[in-house]
Amino acid sequence: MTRGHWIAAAFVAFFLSPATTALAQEVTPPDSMAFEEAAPPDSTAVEGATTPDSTATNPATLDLSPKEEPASETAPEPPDEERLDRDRFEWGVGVVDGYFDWVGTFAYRRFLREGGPFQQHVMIEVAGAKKDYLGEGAVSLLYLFRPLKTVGRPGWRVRPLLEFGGAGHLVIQVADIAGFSDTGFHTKVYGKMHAFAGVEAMITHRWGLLVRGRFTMPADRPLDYAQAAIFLR
Amino acid sequence: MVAVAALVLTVLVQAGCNSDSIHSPQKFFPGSQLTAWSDCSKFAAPGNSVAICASVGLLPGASSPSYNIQFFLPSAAHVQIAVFNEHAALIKVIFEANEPPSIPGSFRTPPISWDFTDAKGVRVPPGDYRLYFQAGDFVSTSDLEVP
Repeated sequence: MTRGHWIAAAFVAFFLSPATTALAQEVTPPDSMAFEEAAPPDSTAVEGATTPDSTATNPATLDLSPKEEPASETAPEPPDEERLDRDRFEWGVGVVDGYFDWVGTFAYRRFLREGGPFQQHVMIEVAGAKKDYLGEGAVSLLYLFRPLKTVGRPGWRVRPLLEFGGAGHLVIQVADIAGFSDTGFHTKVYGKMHAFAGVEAMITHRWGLLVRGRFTMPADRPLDYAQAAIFLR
Repeated sequence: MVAVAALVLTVLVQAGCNSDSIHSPQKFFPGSQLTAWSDCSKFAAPGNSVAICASVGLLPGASSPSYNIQFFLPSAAHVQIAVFNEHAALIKVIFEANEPPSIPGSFRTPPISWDFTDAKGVRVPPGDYRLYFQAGDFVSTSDLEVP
């Protein structure tokens, strides 16, 4: 076997290895197409590597340069981690600085865009609380800005959670008029500015935990709640 | 998208932006159904239905004014009177007893009085309060501003 055979065999082995194939399919799908187009010369080279054949002795038949070109022309898709961060659900419990002892929360959060120094997210949160005679349900729509510098890198398992933005809250409270078989209802809409500060940690690829505080303005008590939540992305 | 969000937020802010904390009890009373029991001096008790009247005044022997409630019952009933604050929290049960039928044309005497104190005897802070009166299936309310 000549030196040319060894080089050809090494290139083919590299490009046919499972890890390389998976990388080509996951990260840059157009590459895999380019790979298929370029496959026939490779297969020839494989045969050539296993059996000494004159068809494989010519290195000119193993033209690898076309494979590189589509990769540079096509913008790479975001890695898995980033794509997963675009949508997520959150189930949480918050300790409230107010009448209620705690609130239960469920939220859907979606990445909208990245502009300037911020990521922009929208979040819809439903919260419920009950204490003594009083029950509360709240639906909140939040538009949040998260500084890019605080987002961290995709591989980080623990990341800071710092963001701020505006929100509208529709709050419905139900009061049981003790002893009189009567119920009082009251609805109110709030417009607030919020800042969130906390930490989120990935437990598995899709599940994680977060703890954060929500600061509000204007408010009698700036710290609305301190929340611990599980998120699924 | 950002413009729509800003517009929605602006509307919401104008609708209800204030310094209330979000997870705090709201003001249930007085609401859209403001009620008040009439002054007892304005009419006599009818003879065939439950009637209530009340007024703020100084009862004989009392050192400070109180809210004095009188009622007429055509038949015996379990009567309960209680006061709630503006957040609908129970402040005090003023009266609870089985009452005999009232004398036709007359309100109960002596009146039931609320001296603006809570269940512990501490004077309540100034604000809006609602009184509930129940006699059998009959329920009536009256809003009162305590100075």
